[in-house]
Amino acid sequence: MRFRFSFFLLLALLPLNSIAQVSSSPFSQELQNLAISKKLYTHQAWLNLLHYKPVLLGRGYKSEVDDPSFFLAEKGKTNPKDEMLKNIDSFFTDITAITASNVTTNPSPAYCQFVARYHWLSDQLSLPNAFHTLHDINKQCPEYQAWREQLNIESAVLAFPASYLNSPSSMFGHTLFRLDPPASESQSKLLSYALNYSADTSEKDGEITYAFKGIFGGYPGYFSLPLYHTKVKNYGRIENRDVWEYALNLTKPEINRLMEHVWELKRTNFDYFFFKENCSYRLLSILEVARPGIDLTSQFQWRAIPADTVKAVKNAGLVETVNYRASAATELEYLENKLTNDEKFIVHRILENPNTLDSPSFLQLNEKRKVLVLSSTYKVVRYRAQRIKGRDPHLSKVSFALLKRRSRIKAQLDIDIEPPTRPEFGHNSQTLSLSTGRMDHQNTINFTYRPAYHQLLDNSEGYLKGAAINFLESQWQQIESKDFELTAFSILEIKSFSPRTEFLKPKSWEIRLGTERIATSGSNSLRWYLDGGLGRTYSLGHSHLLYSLATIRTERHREFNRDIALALGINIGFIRYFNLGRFSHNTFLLHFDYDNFVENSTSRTKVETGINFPLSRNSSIRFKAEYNKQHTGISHDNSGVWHTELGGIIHF
Amino acid sequence: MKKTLIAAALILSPGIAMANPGCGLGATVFEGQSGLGPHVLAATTNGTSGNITFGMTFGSLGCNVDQSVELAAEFLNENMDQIAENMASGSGEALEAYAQLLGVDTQDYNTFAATVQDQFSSIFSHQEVGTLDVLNSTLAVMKQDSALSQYVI
Repeated sequence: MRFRFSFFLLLALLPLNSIAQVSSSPFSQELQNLAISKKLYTHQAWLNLLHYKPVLLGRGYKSEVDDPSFFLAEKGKTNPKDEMLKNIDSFFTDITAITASNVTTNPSPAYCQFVARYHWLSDQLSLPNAFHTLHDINKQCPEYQAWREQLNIESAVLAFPASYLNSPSSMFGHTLFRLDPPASESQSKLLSYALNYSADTSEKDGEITYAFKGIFGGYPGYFSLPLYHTKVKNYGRIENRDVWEYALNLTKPEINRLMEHVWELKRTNFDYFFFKENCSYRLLSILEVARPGIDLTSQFQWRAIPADTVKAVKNAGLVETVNYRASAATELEYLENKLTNDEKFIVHRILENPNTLDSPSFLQLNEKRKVLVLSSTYKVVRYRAQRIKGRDPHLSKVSFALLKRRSRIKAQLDIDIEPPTRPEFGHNSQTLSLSTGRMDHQNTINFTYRPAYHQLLDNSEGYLKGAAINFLESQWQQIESKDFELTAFSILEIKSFSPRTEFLKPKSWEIRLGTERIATSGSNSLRWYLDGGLGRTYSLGHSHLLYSLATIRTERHREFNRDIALALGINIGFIRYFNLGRFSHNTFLLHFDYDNFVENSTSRTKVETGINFPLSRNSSIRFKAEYNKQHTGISHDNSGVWHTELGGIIHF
Repeated sequence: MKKTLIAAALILSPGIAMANPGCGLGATVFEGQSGLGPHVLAATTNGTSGNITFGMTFGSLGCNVDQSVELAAEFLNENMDQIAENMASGSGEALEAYAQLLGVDTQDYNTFAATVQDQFSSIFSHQEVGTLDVLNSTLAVMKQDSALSQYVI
């Protein structure tokens, strides 16, 4: 009340325009003092609005926004208090111009730019209603108002395009918001806006530079508001990723705050860091602004894996319902399973020659089966067309013939795809394992830590089968006769063994980079390697995969004459996913690896087998056996070594 | 939502569109991928190349037409293959969205879907039709139908 009194006193006593040009009016000074006495700048809501995070070592804060125009104070990026005082000064000085002449002469006052901050400060400083009538955002900020009316958002959906066929790096995924208009408008979801945070990679960089810059913050990240259909097209039909849509239970005021804050972030640049300050992390920071009191970002100190962020949003009680949007490839796989062998044959023939549509083999089918064949074939054609640039006359001709025929049939195709396990039900992304084993007549203790993400043997529920992606895995071993030592450190390992089907023919590939010891080699010291492979995977029945790849390996070690030794080889393996009694989602793996070095007549053989029994989502028992043998032309050191181990694994 | 689209149809007739090079509706049905192939390492940034829109995208095509027509044209341009398939089968999510953008009310949607399926061969008259051809012939087909002509007057 003391404050209100002084406010009116101020209005009554001051000549109207005498202080309009002064940097800090007594009025805003009064408000600043109030903010200081209430310590508003330490308030979590303020820290969230400006994206302040405590600095890692020492005291103080730093904002994650890397755009000077987001701050009004000179040291705003690192000083929440300065920034707040400057904001108060900019927002509330104009009040002295009671005729509002000041307001109209300034086409873009600060409070029109930072609406969420303005509203939060007004609330905290208990500004009287008289003030709000003067500073009516609706009237004073036409650009903002037009934008809000155009978007007319009532609810928000968190969309998560899951990992996609043939690109395990997409396991890290992406998340975006879909912003829906009022349900009463029953507008197609395709026409909703999407709120997307992504790196602006318009510079033409090569693949490696691209990855490097993406990981280390070399690209600026921006929010954008494309229409949702462009995202559905991109994820669903070009990249073939299923999309999970989590409807959020944000209330009307929360949506309002969300939109106010999104407006503040227009054209605001955050440096994009793949591991942490990525799309998913940014969305969490927006939800923190929308719903005061929830903490989502602090659990992601140095990495934010999209599936983990979805879990966090769910655990915070924000998710209402979940919808599954199957990708074009998933639909095709579904249709393929419905086709008989004869019908598959017809599909192949139509693909070769659309005149097959007039052949008896097609014409004899009933209407429903015709629709199934036509739709399946069309999906195959479109899938293939997405893999080429520009236009293929033959594919166009087939597409056109298919649709012309389809338009003559009224029967409808029922597509009812049962959604797979949702990604947030997959195991957590960090892994620790401990095992005891036996190698070369000695006991071993083995320890592994992996910050991310999923290996072939791990519990496959909620993950893409036949895919593995690992970052920074370190393996340690204690053998009776030796000290505890690092046996392998893998910087990156990606395996993508996606099975070929009747109509989809993805390539399988793998890449590994790291350093490791090879026990059977002449020297047991760590050696750096980079290897990769390319090949095929076949599905034998429902949950059996058989893969084979031609590999190339480069290795750096003094046992070779050259700085970099080169080996050619093959990988062959078999994976089986199965249930057994009370154990479900078990995995069996048998892997054979042969490398032949181009010089030194050195060759290596490795046979690896393992079986994993999940006890729960985040724990498993695992048995592994590995046989290594190195044959060197000179030394005849060719006795192989077996290592068997039994241990437990936890994901956290 | 009900809009009069006849003027739009005139402006968007192919000849005029060609004289309007800024009008960015270049898609042809059954095209392959436009632009860059997916990066193998695309997931590292989920990158977008330029074109950071923030709502208010209208007028970006430079077609100088009614806003709702431009939205319909843009949607069609992006989703031609899908809309072609949906029209041929007389149903689908993309077709529903397209109908909404053309101002078709919910109660007339079934008529719309059935009509475009029947008239598929006149809307997609050959295998290289472009966005504007499809939009114009959709409007022409609607005009012929007693229930749908109200949306194109």
